Amino acid sequence: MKKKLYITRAIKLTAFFLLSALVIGVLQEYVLCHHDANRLRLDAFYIEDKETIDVAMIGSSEMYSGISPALLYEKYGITSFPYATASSTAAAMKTQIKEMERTQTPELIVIEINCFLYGTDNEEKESSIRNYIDNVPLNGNKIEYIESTPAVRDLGRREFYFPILKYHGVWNDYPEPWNKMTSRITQDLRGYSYLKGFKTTAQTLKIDEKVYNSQLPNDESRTDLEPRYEVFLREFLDYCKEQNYNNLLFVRFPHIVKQETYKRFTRGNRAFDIISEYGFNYINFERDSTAMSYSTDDYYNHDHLNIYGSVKFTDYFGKIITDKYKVQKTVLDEKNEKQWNEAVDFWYKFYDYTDYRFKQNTKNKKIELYETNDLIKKVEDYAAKKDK
Amino acid sequence: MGNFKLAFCLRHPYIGDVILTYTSLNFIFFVLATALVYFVLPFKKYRWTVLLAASIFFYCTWSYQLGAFMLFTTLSTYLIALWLSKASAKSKAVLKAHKSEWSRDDKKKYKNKTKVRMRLIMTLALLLNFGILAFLKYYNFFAGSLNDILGAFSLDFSAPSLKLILPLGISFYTFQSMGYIVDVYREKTEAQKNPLKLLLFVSFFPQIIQGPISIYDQLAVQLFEGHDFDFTRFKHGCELIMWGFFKKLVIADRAVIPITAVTAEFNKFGGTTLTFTILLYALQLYADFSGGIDISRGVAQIFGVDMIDNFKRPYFSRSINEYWRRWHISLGAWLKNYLFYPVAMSNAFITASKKMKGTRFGKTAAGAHISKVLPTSVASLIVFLVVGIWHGASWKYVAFGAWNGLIIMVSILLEPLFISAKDKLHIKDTNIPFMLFQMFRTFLIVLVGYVFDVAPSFSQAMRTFWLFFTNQNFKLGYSQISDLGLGKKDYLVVLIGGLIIFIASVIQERAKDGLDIRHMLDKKPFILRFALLFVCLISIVVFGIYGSGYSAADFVYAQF
Repeated sequence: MKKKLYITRAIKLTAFFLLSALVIGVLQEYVLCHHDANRLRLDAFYIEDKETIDVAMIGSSEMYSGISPALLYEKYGITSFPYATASSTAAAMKTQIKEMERTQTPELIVIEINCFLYGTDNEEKESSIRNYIDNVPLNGNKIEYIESTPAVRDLGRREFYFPILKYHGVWNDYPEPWNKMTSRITQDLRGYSYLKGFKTTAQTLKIDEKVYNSQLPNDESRTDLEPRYEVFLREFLDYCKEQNYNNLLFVRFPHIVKQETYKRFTRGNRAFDIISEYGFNYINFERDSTAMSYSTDDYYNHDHLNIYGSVKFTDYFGKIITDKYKVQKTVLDEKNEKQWNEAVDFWYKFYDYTDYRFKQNTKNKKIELYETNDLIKKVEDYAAKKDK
Repeated sequence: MGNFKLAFCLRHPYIGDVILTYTSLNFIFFVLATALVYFVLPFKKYRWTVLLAASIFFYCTWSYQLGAFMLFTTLSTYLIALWLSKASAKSKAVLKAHKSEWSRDDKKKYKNKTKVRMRLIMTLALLLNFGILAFLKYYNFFAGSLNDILGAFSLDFSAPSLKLILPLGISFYTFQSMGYIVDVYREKTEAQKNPLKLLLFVSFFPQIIQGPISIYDQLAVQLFEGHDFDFTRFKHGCELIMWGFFKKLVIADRAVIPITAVTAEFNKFGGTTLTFTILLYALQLYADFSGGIDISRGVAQIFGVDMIDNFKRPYFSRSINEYWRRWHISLGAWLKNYLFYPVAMSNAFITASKKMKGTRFGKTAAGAHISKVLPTSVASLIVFLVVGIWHGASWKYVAFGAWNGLIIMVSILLEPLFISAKDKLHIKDTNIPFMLFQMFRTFLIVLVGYVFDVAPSFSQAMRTFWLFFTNQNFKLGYSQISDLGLGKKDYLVVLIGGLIIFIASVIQERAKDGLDIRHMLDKKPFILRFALLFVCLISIVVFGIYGSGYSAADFVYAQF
């Protein structure tokens, strides 16, 4: 009799805790979480079929706004994906490369070094930390990052393991996150993304200050990296060396360099010395006369290319990595080939739509465009309207 | 509100300051770990030591240095209780030894002498412990008031202001310990011979932050008895904790946001906003305090300890007297036992009552009534002045106490008039509209008292009353209320939460068998219980104010 009672209680308790865990888990994953473009991008990366990416790009926002994977595929047959988040931290680089390698074995891993060039403390900025790690599924790499990052410890590790502890108040923001939430679900159900993580802003940079870009290809000036960032860079390079990576390409994407950001440019020169010490390849596009010849109309702010700039840079970058680094295109199966072709079709429609938004944007407001259900619908509607 | 600060807490190398607040996840883990050790310990006789160790650890997470105050209280209480006990035993032995030799007068004389001696010993304990409490809590208030008075007379003296930190739960453990001392003095309770057991009684962790203030005889036996694990008790404890979490995290900590915004810039707001704030405060305070007590009782219940319920749906009270029997019941009981009766039954009061009875006025019907109830009514006023001062070192709290005391005093003194008016109007006590009117009237009286609580000062409280009648502007109020840090959705959560509390209270108020909701639920189908608990848990997780996205508020009564 007692045994029966114990079993019944055990079943009831288990049912209660399992159902609670399930509901809380779903809420944490889809409803009450950090909703933004970074989340959509990383989700899109994780749903890509294994071993289908030729070039993985890790780092910060320059990656996903500067190169269009669909265009790169169309022009050079190379599949690529920006495994990158806004203002990515230096401490996250090791985790990013590990995470990317968990599902993909790319021929070339392109690493933007922006995170090592900061003059201020980006490492402690909660938004920079969370932009990345909140969007990584719980696994050994994430645990290692959480446990080994002092800034995370200071913020409270529990909220990184169980993000609902931090984001449960997001219910108050609804219906605003609804579009992002449904976009993630749709994307997960679809099994692939159209823009492959690309994000842009329909805006043109307006700048009154002096722009240094034209003289930078010949500028050898160097400034030491902030000590803590040099330590981060060297530790990362040591790690890459230990792991015997021979497919790394460190890059510095083109920027509009002005007085305020000139020092960062000189740190980029210094980074070249350090990276070369370890024997890795480094292309500093801030020293490249072609890349630095893009006008301010090709940027939406001084750090990021807009869609017009990204079209130019994608083409240029594709040429370099195929010519110089001999990246060969993977032979995709029928399913993946179809998906990438679909991505190319969508890219052109997206380009047209973005161009239209530019033209409409007479006040030059910041209009962010990235893959959501809402955007897909608008792009398709615009394309249909245009066809008529 | 929410300004209870403590220094010198335990520091963990990874998670920083380890303060175990009742609504933190750490506290839940701590309770579960303590329960595990408690029930696994094979020696039932010594299970109380687990509670003692847990209580000391809990206190140290807040402040180990300020724990010295609690140790002092325990030690002084322990020694003085033993002293009292010995004095009483010695007196009995002497009386027994001289039973045949001493005359009745000799015995009476000796008894009186012993009583005086014991009273002195008890007074020593009261002075020592209430002295510490009074010094830490009221020194700066009295020093400031003294300086104001001396300044008014242009006297060149200034009492210094001191940076005093109030140890966690000092009011609660001091009241509890002194209640024990009085009980030993009254020979209602045997003095505890084991100082560690007394320390557990004083420091029992579920009640240290905000009570309830337990009576030794009621609590100690349960603490020292080794309890076996009981699933039903455990389940009921967890359900009560969950209900407490709901009240505290979903309602109280959300409602406190606009209240804090108003108190921070009190002068800025008009009558409508202040009216709204006072109403919201009534809900917030109840949800906060009763929620905290539910957590305390739930945790204690897991360990087999039934603590006194501090609340009995106070807003359903039909008189202010009844309200104070339903609100903070343990404090009311303590004050009744250890302050009200000693004052009301004191020789001075009895004599005054008798004297009045003998006067010409005392011979009239009104005079007879007044002389009869005078000791109780004046004692009530004194008790409420003490309650007011206990709430805080400020004139506004004195006014709060005076308001409640005066209302009770007047209601006692004018009771025959009310009864006669009711008779003339043919109103029966069971008449539902009349009952509702009484509840509404009592609630209004309570709200007036809350104005003193919420307003930053006595003069601001007076200004608030003035604005209630002269500055009602709904349009302005709406725009001010919308700008107090809570959105419409949050207000809706508070409203729904308040409604849930109201419905639960009505169910319990109407329960004929006196069963609480948890026992009622036990009789319902499993699926209904399952669904209710599940909804409660998810509501806490989703709507609770916790985590770094929010700043959870301290328990209001923790500052007392």
